[in-house]
Amino acid sequence: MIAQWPLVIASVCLAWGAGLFASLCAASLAGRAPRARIGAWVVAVILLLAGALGFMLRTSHWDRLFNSFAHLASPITQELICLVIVIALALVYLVAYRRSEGEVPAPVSAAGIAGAALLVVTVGRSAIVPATTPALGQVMAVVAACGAAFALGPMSFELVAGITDRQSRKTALGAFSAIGGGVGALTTAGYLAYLQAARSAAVVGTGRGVEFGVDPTRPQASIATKASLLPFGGECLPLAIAAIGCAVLAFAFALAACRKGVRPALVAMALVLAVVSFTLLLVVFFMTGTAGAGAAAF
Amino acid sequence: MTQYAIVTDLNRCVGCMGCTVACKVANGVEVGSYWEKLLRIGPTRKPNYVHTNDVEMYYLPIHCQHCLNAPCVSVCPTGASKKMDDGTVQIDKEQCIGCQACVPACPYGVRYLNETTNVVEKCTLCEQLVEQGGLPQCVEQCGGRARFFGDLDKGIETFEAPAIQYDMDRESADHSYESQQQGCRVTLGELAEPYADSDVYTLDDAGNGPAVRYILRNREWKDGVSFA
Ligand code: SF4
Ligand code: SF4
Repeated sequence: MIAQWPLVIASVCLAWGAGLFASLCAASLAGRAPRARIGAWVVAVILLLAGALGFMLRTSHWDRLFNSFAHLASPITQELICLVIVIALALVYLVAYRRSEGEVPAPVSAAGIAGAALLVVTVGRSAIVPATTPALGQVMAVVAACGAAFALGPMSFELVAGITDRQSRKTALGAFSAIGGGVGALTTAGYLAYLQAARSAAVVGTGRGVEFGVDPTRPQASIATKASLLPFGGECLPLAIAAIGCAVLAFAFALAACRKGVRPALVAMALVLAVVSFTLLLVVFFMTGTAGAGAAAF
Repeated sequence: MTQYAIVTDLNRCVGCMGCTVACKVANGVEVGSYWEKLLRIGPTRKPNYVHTNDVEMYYLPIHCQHCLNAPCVSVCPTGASKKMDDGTVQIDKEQCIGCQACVPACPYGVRYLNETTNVVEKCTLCEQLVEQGGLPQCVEQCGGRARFFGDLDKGIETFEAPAIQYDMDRESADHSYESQQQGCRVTLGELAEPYADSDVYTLDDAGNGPAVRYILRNREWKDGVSFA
């Protein structure tokens, strides 16, 4: 299967935007980086709207867009509802910020963190997982999305803080961007390892089926090989390795930025690598997700 | 409960693709889309392979399996994909927004976006014909008389295919096609070679419960086949 780019873009932007909004709320709760807050708010809202746009790009009937709130049990409906809630919470945050001259009440920030966390969970459920995924796969997918958001959010807040408040020599969120980067690297590697193990067991272990199907309606198409269904096999191998490599490097840059105080260039490098890593993770997921083969492992 | 489905006797299938063509004609399926497509599985070596001609193969017609717990239904944000009372999975084209979330959710790759109407489509088990007492066109036109349609809850031996009725009344003035066709059915139980329960297969089941059945005797069923 080819990568579903609108879905990939939507998932990356939503996890990123939600992570940044949660980091902003956490900074407000801790009373850190007051000058960075409006900038972070604007970037977070742009990312959330870009995520919504990604979903719309995938949709062919914009005139019926509101139908997508109709099936409450669908992970996509839940994701869209959470997105609306988080955007509403962001507006509440802005109003509270303007009224109290920067001091946002703690319940507003706490609600923002909870809403953003919920959104990231639904992103993991809807984007990475076809519905046939076994329970463990669904949990792993949600964990991977949470790990990515935990890396992207604090890193981008740190970057905004580094740019808007050049005087400060301290990090805005302490070691959070480095911890987030570490967690992100672990969840990325963990999810790819899970995919490899689950699909190897279900597809390759049987030693039957795959590599035998020929579709006469596509005589030129190559036959799916077992390797093409594995993250660490076929053409996905370099992408999977790059996903983990970028996540580890992002962690290293975030750690270096933490140790050396505010260094926007280092944080920016970490952030770019973390974005690339999560994007590659989703691309690998789609590219290895050839329909049918070893479906039980998806 | 009713669960309409199709059984294909793979030992009878000759790979003529009559089902694919009949489906396209009956349902106006777009160029490049296949609500019904045929895979060739093999040739593969027989277990006691000695000579190069000790090989076997079979054809596998793939279409919507009208799953019991259809993942396409559970991901659909609009509720356009529905499980109906007759067990079939249908798409409400007025409700569908063409988001294609259901396309990768299906384990068998049988859903297609219609580029003209911008909604997703797939095999309907020819509901427009079945409603009027007819058979799905792929069953009707099957070149090997390998396909049978019926209600899974009544057992696959009750599944029906068309049969040719020769004892027509030649004195009658009505020689219409319809008069010959009506009631001219043969069941799988009557027509098929004997098969064991272990000869009846479904496509890989990831908990989605495909309703469609395949019969394959004296050959090794290959699971984990790629359908994309
Ligand atoms: S075969 Fe695919 S399209 Fe058909 S019901 Fe099952 S999941 Fe849905
Ligand atoms: S494309 Fe249509 S049927 Fe498929 S999930 Fe979207 S709204 Fe539902």
